Amino acid sequence: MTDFILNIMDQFKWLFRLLKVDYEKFRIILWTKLTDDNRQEKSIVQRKSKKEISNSLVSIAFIYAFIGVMIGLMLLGIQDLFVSMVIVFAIIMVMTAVALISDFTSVLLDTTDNAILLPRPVDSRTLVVARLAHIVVYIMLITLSLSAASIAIGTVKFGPVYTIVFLLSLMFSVLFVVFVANVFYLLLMKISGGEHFRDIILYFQIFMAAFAMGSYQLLPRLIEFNALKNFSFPIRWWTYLVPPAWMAAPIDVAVTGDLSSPKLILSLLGLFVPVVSVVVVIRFLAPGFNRSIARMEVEGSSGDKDQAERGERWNLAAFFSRLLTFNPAERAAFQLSWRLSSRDRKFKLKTYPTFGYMLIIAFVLTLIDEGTILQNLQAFPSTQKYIIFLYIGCILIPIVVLQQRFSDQHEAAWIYHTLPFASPGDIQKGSLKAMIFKYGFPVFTLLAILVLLVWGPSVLDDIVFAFMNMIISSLVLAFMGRGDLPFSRRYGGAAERQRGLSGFLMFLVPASLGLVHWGMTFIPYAVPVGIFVAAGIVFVGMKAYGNIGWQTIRT
Amino acid sequence: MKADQPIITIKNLKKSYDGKNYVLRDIDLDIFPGQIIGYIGPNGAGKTTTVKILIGMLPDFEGEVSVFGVNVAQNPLEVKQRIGYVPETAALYDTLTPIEYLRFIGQIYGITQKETEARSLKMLTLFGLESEANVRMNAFSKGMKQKTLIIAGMIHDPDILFLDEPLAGLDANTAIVIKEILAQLAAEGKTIFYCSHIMDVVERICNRIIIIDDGTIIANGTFDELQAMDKGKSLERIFSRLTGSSGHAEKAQEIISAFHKEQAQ
Repeated sequence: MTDFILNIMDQFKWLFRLLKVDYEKFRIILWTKLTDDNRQEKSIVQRKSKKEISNSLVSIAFIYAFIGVMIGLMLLGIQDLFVSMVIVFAIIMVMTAVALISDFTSVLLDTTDNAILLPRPVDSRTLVVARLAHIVVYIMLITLSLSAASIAIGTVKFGPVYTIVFLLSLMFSVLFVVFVANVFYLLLMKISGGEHFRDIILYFQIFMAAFAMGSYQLLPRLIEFNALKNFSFPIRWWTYLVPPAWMAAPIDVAVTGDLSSPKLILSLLGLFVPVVSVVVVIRFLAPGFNRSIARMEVEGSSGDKDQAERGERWNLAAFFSRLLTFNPAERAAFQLSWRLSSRDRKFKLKTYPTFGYMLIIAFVLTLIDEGTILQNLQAFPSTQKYIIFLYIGCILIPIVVLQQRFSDQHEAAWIYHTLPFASPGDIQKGSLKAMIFKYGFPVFTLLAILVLLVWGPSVLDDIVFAFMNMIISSLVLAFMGRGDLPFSRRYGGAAERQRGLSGFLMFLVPASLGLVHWGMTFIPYAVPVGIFVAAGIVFVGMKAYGNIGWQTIRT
Repeated sequence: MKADQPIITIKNLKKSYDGKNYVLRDIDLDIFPGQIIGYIGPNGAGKTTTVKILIGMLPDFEGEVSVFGVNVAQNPLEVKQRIGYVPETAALYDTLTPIEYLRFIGQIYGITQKETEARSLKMLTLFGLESEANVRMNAFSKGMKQKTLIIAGMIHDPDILFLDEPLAGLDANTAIVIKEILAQLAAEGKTIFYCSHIMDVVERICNRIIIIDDGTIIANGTFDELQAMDKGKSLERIFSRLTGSSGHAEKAQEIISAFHKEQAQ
């Protein structure tokens, strides 16, 4: 695969040289990065099974190809080729940009190989182009997967001219997206340095993940697809500012032979803007970009210091640990998990978006009835949909509990094994309490306030019961992962891949408890009685969880 | 470059990461070919920052730095082509084999693949890694990775070699070989810039010692010159006195007492 990619690159050697890139050095750096990726991926898989040569990239490509089928169907449904192409390219470009910023930021801003590459005689331009090419390889795979169905359907419908022009437009759209992402990063680097920059990117990623999930759920419900069928839009002045229109126009021109001046102008924009963008990135933005990345590495630690100092001032972890834990070992584990979970970027990236889109799902689930959104909202107080809201919280917290086993600094967990803990149960219990209290309590309080505002104080007992069930759900998940100490497993490792049953239970347990809760609302006094029963289960469960022995812990 | 002409010149070098606090303040230094410089200082004194500036990794600084008479800020590539650097941490692509990694490094310096492989195999054999030449480095010990890093820093036969704690993780025999290599390279006219915290190694192999503290050079001379200032003491004692860190025995006693107090409570 690496050789195939490099052979394609070799065909454009002249272009790289024209842009003053040292092609030989560029090629060897790209080879090294791709080989490194390839082997990192395989080494994880090989540990599991030698026969099983799966590749996460391949599975990502399948997911995108599936989305691509949905996009491709537009070609069959929408009459006007230009309109369908604008929509297809809008989706592809937005998804590519999201993938670039959310999934490949770490690759683009990777400072780990700075110590290898920066002391060597490689100019900034070559270095940045190698970094970008490394990413473009993956981005192209995503865009090709996304557009596979559109290419297939379009080729059958319009012939090979469509295929050629579509592929060219696709390439130009990727180049343009890479340019936009670059400008975005450089602007961010200008206004914020070091760790703050990484934080901003993190929150952007979280927002984008929630936004993508929200759009996926809400948009199909809001768009009248029938209206699009015969839709055609006249080209106005602002159409020239819409990049997907630049990419769609050449296809329309090539297939329908529409040589009107607006379409030709749009086509020219589709050709020139990406080319100029690439030249701007390579010739002007690249050196600044590299310098900023180099600076980020050395400035990195100051941000963490600020954060740590801020944390110490409030010292919420210490305060709550005194309230909620019963021995020093449990207290120490509580504080450690509390602090690590708010400082570990990957943990935040994996868990925070869930909070956003679970709330969106809650809304979607409550609105699936017939009638308008307003009618549904007005009918809320007479329904029992508060149970859905409350149990969304019950799903969220087990996600956090499941995730707190993983960390990029998993090797630091050796400390647990060298300290004189009589039983690891205290560590596990302290950590679980920290997760429930730090994430579960605020989220649940928010949902409870919302529910109280709409349904009134009569559902107070339901809120308490749901809270107990949230703790029970977390306990079930915690028991499932009791072999792993907090933050002791590697992301992407076997532990994360083999958590299938836990992932299933994460939804099944709260959903079942929610169903039982719903049934109990029809029986008088069942919920208040349920609170006591649930409290008993929590008490016994916590005690049992605290009694885990060292023999249970995986090393 | 003539032996009496400095190979590295630093004038009024200042560096601040945040625009307010300076990690280097007015460093002035001339280093000559064939010298083995021991660059020592407490943690956070500015050693790594100085090295990163000299090797062209940090382009933003105040003052003037030239290596081989070339301005580092203006023309870092020309400098990088002729220097070697061995970082403190084992920064390498450990999914590659040593041969693959060294081939990559060699190609960056413009050495032919054949030549790189010949040199790599020779050096790997000398370092006792010949049987691991085609084994991926993620299974390597710290010392084996360090040996590969040292080879990578020397593969293009640099005129100046910058080393940051190069002996970390190496067994005693390899450490002796490295020290011998450095002495012989210096005899050939190569310059060695050696950062370390291990005083007795610096004392034994460096023919000039520079002590930096809080971004300022506080001592600069041969070991004999520094010793003359401090009446025959070891480098460790001289270093402690100059960096204001005296009374180690008292400090150790305080620490032990603190432990005892904690235990008593």
